[in-house]
Amino acid sequence: MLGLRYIQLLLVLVCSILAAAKSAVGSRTLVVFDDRVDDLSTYSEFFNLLKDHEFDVTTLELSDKSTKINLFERDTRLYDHLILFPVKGKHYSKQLAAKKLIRFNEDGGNVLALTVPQVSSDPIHLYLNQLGIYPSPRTQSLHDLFQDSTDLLFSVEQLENEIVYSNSNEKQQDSFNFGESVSAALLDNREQIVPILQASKTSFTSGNKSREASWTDGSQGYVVAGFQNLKNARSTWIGSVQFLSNKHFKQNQDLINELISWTLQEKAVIKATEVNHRHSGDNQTSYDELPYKVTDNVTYTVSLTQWDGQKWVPYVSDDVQFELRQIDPYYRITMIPQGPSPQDPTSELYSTGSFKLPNRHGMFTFVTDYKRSGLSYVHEADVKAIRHLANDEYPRSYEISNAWVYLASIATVIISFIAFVLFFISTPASLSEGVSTEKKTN
Amino acid sequence: MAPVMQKKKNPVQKDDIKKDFAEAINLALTSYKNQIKNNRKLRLIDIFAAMLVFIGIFQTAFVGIIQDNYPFNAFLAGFIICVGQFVLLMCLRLQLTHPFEGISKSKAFGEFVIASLILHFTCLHFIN
Amino acid sequence: MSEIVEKIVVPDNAVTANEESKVTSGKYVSFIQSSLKTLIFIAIIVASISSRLFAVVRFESIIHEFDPWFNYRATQYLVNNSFKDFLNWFDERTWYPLGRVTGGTLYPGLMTTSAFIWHALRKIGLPVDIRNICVLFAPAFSAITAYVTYKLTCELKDQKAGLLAAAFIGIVPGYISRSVAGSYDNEAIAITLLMATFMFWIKGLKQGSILNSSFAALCYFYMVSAWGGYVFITNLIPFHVFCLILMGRYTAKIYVAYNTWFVIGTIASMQIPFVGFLPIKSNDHMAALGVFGLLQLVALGDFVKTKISEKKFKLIMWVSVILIMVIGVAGLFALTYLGLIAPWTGRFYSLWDTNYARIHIPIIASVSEHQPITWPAFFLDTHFLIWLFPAAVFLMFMDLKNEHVFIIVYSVLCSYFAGVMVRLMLTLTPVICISGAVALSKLFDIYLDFSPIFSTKTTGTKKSSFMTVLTRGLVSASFVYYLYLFVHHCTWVTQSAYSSPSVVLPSQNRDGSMAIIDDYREAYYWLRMNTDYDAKIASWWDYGYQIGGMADRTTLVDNNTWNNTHIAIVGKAMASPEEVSYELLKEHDVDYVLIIFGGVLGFGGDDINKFLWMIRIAEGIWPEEVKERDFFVNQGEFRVDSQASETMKKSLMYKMSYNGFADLFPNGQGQDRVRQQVITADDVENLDYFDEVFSSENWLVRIYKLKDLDVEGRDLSDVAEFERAKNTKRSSNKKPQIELRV
Repeated sequence: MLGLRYIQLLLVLVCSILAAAKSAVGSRTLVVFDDRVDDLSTYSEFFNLLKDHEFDVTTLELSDKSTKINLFERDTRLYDHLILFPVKGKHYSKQLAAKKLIRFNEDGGNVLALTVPQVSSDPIHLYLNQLGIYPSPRTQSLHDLFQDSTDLLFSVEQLENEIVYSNSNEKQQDSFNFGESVSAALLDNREQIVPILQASKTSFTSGNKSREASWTDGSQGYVVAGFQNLKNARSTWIGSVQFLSNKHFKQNQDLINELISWTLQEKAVIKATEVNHRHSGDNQTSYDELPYKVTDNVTYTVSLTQWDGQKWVPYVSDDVQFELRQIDPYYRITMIPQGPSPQDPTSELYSTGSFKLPNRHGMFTFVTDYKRSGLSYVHEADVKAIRHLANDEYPRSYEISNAWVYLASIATVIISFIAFVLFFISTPASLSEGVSTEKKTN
Repeated sequence: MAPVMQKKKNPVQKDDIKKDFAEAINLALTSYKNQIKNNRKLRLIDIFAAMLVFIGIFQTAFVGIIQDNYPFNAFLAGFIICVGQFVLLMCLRLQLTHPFEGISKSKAFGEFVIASLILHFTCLHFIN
Repeated sequence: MSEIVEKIVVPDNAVTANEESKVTSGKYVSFIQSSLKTLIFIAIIVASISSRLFAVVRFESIIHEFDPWFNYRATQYLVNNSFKDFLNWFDERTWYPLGRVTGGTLYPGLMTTSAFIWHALRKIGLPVDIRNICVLFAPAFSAITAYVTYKLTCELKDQKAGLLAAAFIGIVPGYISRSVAGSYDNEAIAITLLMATFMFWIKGLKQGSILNSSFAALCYFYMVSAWGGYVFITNLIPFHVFCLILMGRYTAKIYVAYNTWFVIGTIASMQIPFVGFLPIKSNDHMAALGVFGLLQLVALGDFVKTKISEKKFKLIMWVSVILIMVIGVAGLFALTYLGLIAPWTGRFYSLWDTNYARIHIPIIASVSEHQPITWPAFFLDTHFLIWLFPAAVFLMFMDLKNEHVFIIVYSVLCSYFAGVMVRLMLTLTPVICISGAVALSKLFDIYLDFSPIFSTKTTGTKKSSFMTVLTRGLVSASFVYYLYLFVHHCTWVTQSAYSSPSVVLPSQNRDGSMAIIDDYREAYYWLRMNTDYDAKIASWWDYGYQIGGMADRTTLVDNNTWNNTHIAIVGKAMASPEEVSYELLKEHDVDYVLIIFGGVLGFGGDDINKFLWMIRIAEGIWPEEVKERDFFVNQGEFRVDSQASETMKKSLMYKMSYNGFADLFPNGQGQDRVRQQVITADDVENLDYFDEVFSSENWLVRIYKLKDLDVEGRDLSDVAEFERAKNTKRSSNKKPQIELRV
């Protein structure tokens, strides 16, 4: 009994920590919405959750045409996160053009976008299209042949990404309610897309007009999809607004929590803190002191750290690889975690161990290219030259047994030459003799 | 001249030619013997030359036997110093038997020593 | 200018004066002769150096052209590091990502010499900038060349001819073309060494001296360390010996001279890392080896010959010769077949068959130096010597000594090869000078001999002597006039044709004054100042050395064309559509692409004109992806205007060259002044993957930066399209044409 209590206590503690998690990049959040489409009071639970996550929320209502949206002041980004509720009207297209959103995202801002079938939010659609997410157009909404109720339910099994939502014991819900009108999206093949929640095999989208072809059929459609750009800024699209509403909040809370955590970079954020490579051996001389040459033994290390919502902790995994490339990879070595790095205890040290450079000179790139769907990308590259053997680094002749023969013969020749010269000089008398014999023979 | 060169000519087939050759070789040999009989310097040169030929052939045979010319530079250095020294000796010999105008025998010998030293130095450098 | 002309005139007049002084032989003749000779030499040296300084006077003290930039860079490296470092220099800033084992793939003679001079000058308290040494290196060595040529010609005829030859070689444009101040190239030192080797060789041959032949071998070694053209000596001397043997002129001297030279020269040449075992393996060197062997046999034969009857000897000789030839040829084929000796190189074939290179090895043919020479170029380079030359060769036949055979062999061989390859004109020029001098001095010996005037009584009637004097005077006067013309011509050619550094281009303002187009340096300086130190620049290989030397940035390919595939990569990038090029260049970590565009200026040597070579070289490696045919319009023309072929318009080179070109012109009708075609803005498609970052003043150099990979992972063409679209664009209700997730 006591043990159970402890566990409960622990759970509470964990929950409180989870609730108090912070984003690794910042807390300034802008929520854009339209009074004509949604009333924010129906999402109060959601906003409470954001507050629990210590987000500094600013809301902006867009039905008034005079409202301006400034994501940047001069070249400084004003917000770290952007939450976009469906908004309609041309004004919105101008204020929040897709190009602006792209710029915001490229600058490192995270975007959580919501669309609904009733409203065509052009900029959001255009923005998502640029990411390779194609939500169904206005009028088309998702239906399921096997679900009669008006609300669409999605089971936990339809979740695709372990990192965004790991199915652990603490989470009780086995299905999520997305409400009545849900859009589904087609995703293209880009590696940066993180599919999160797949539509069921029995679902399809259809519009008012029966002749219209369906946008998605079965499991090719997605209702929640994430995207992480090369600068590790994230975007998540959710194909329903009711998913966040107070009405379904309790049922969806776990998923909402995880989606916020992932999108607004409270979790799955890793980075390399220290990249190093040096000669193997005791004194571990670095490249700057002694450039590499072919077949040298070299050790490469990288330290990875992870944001746990509060602080940076070591990131431990067994699939971090090192590559030595010259256009094509020469080596690919899976690195072994060595425990927390001595220099920086908050990160895990990975090492290749000592390995031999190829017997080929040229410019080589030392790369760690760690890209896992859902995690931040780590790409650390360092170009270094590997030089050829210098003329005095080949084995000397006297170190090669074969060459002794030749060395000996050279020595013989030289010694006998000296002897010859000495003899030659010491026999001057015969010179005249020789000449005389020559004369005779001639 | 060197006995090696004469060996090369032996495998000629036709009889009369063979006879001619034999005669030529005999004649050459006798005159050669005459030449060196009375001149110790020439004999000295020839002994040295024969030794060089032997060393050169020995090295080539060594490479042939072990089927590997791995320290190729060493082999070349060893071989070329033999060939080079041999050729220089021949030059000296020619100059001693038929002195050229303008070059006395002692001058020829001096030049020979200088050239040999250059040769030795480069070969030593080559084998390092 | 005129001052220099006069200085150049001095030697010729002085020569005549010298000869006249000889005629009026007096008490102090020998003293006057020697002092005059010294004077003449000083004049020759001053003339040869000063005529090479046109480049500095007209432009500035700057390294010229392409290869000298590399030599300069290497010299700097040598001066800043130890000799051992230099020998083992691995250059990671060229041929990215392969790098170049520079220390082992260059001829170090030039750099070592100038570094030696630099150190020596510092020792005696003259700290001269290494650049100035490099710039003035060639003129200084031309003076030495003049002296060595004098010695060589002395061996052939006499001092008079020697002085003339020295004067000729001092100012002949064919030699100046490669040795003006700033042209810091291997040839600058190589010609001096060439002459020195030949001089010692002929001396050694004449005297049968081991010492002189050893000197010849050492000069040969120096030559090997300085220039790839040493192969010329390697073949010429054996050929000379071979000719002599055929002519039945074998003597012990030949044996001594050749064997000494060959043995020491060969082992010494193998000390140069770049040459290595080539003298044993390459067919280029086989002739020397063959003649070496032949000479041993001939020597043996000669020994036997003195002992037995002539008739028998002939029989024996023929049988042996045939036998040995059969064995030799078979051996050669067997070795080549087994791959033990290097196959005949492409450059070697292109010597024999002018079309070989064009068909098989575009990279060789694309070098302008490897093109056949034209007749006007002969005249331009040697003026009246070119027609004295055959006469001189004929005169050589008149008294055919061994050394004359050498000159004949040299001239015949070299004339042929110079006809095949322009750059060999350089080796032909000295022999033209020497033989021209010999011919002229023979002529002067007869016609400048005015002694009949002073000794009329003994030579016959007054009238006939007057006629003799008249004709002699006429002939002499005409030749002196020719000499004057020659000097004039040389000065003119030197200052107009050969003094341009080609880094700065001369041009004329509208009012006729001289203007200097300095686009290259402007662009290279821009690169140096505005790009990352590790930035990689892709450009056609012609500019590799200059980028390395002036901009100090890493290049993909350069003028050391050792890796054809790597060059083909750049060729392919230039010839492919930009998305293909982008990927290829990104793979090689390229940051900037540099091209030369002459359309605005009317500069013919630009990249569009070289484009065909890039295509051909790329086609040699990727025949499926790059096809030369596609770049021509149907009529078989190479066009760049609106009628240009689709592939041409899509190619990166075209887009980069003409990007924004039409906008320069008020009516949007760009006039390409090189190809005389009109380009409108519609002809040039958008450049989506590259950003123009720099175009020089006259658009001669244009530099493009590769855009970064899109952060969203889109194709850059899609990005550009998205950026061009209006903000208010509505999202489409059409299903996207995408590859769906699997």
